[in-house]
Amino acid sequence: MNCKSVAGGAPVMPLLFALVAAVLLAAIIGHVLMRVPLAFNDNFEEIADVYRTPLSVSLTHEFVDPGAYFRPLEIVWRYLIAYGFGEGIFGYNVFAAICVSLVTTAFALLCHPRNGRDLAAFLVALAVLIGHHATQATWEFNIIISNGVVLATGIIAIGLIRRPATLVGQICAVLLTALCLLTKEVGLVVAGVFVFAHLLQMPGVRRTTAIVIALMVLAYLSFHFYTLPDLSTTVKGKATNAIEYLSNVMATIVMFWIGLPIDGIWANGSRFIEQPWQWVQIAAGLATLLLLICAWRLALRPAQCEQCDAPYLDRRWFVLFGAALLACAALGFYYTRHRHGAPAVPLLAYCTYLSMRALLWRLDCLGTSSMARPSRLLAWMTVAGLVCALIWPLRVVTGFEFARALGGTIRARWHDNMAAYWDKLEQRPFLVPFSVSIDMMPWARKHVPILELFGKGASGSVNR
Amino acid sequence: MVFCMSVLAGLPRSIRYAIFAFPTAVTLLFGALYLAYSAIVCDPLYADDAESAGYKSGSAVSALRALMPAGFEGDKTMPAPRRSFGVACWRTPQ
Repeated sequence: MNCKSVAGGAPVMPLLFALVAAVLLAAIIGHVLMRVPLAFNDNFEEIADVYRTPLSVSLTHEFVDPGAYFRPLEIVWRYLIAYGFGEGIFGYNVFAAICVSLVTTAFALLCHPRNGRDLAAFLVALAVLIGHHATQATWEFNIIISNGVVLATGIIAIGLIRRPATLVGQICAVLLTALCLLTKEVGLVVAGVFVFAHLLQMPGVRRTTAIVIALMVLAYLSFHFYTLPDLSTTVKGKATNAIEYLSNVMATIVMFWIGLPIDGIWANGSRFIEQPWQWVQIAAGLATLLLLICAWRLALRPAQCEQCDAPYLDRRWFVLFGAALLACAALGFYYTRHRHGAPAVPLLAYCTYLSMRALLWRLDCLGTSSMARPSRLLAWMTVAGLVCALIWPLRVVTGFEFARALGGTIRARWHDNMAAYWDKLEQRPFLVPFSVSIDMMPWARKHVPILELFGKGASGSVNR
Repeated sequence: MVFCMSVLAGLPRSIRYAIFAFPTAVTLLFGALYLAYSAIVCDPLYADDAESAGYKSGSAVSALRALMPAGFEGDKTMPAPRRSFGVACWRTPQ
């Protein structure tokens, strides 16, 4: 079997199929996200504030007295969402759907499959991107404008890092960094990825750009720490000392792979463990970890790839992914949630794509190329690849179930907690439009046989 | 595992690719059917289950009104959701 023939053929069709898959998946998820009523949660006051406080006043307050969080662009996003789409509070639904579309289509363009092998690898990676619980956790009303934006930006960042450095690319890198830093603290991950990519001598980030970004981070951190209140005071559910900080960091890493312990609380280590979806989550994470380890071990050198026309698997992407994950974990020191790994998910999906491509090439050429000899490691990699291909789509389904149940849960909670909501004097004037939004949305059907296969608690597959 | 690898490697290339792509492709196919059914007939995953849950449709506003003192109208600066929010109201069960 001649490996060189694999790369032949028209490159446009695989990309077209990839884009169709990306748009279709975005439409499916977007359709269900459009049916989630406004959430009355701890962010409701921020949603309501947009309608009673001018933007200039909100921004001034953010710079003068930022408190524990400094997120001026998050405020700007809220104003854009409230007034930009002409849909009032349903602007959040529109914004979430747009973000999901941007994430999937940008990922298709980033991977740019050129043949059947690439397309198969892309479909698995797309399932990883949308099936990961950190991605799904960004679909909640408020999270989409912070972690969701950073996740989408993370995909664009990979595209910028991968291609040769251009002036436009450098400007985009700086602007994206500013966008992410001023939106939420997790924006530091994107900034760190750009700088680290330069240190790894990846082509897309010049030294000047890396220095500018590093200086921006320095200025951001200086301002943030100068205005940061004391975090060591006891706050329920948040870390107060070095051991608890370290525990949160470790829990974020573990949670990224297997979804447990929920909320970074080790006592939650076996929560939902009796549910099938939890095992789907654990198996998918472990299989992906195994796939990446095997791919790293079996990666060919550039000269070897040229010799046999194999897809080049650049290990620096794995290093960059590891750095992004560690950065996410470090930022979760104070408190951690499922969503805290979101900025690392694009790199996880991209590394999965590269690994799957390498695996499929090895299976194509097994025994016929001196570079693709059968081995125990390749056997492990094959099994891991198969498990990933099978299980990540199930996680997409459970994510769909989560978003579907989110709407129903919000409706049910409203009735259960109505009196308590009414007692919140500050928010009372805004409960009328909130109630209207609840009544406008249909209830999620309670019994859907195909979704019940994953267990009764599949809606809890992403912790809120 | 070695057997699995050998079997996969022995298959025609297109079938091997199809095996890896199949689960995601099937998921997308079911999703496409769901979207098409929602557009043409009604949404199969959403239903007005409010009554079975003990609440009546449209009960959020009426429940709130039960708590409101006479004359309370709320803050009008926050607009009520538009009825023309097309997709949200699109083909919901009658």
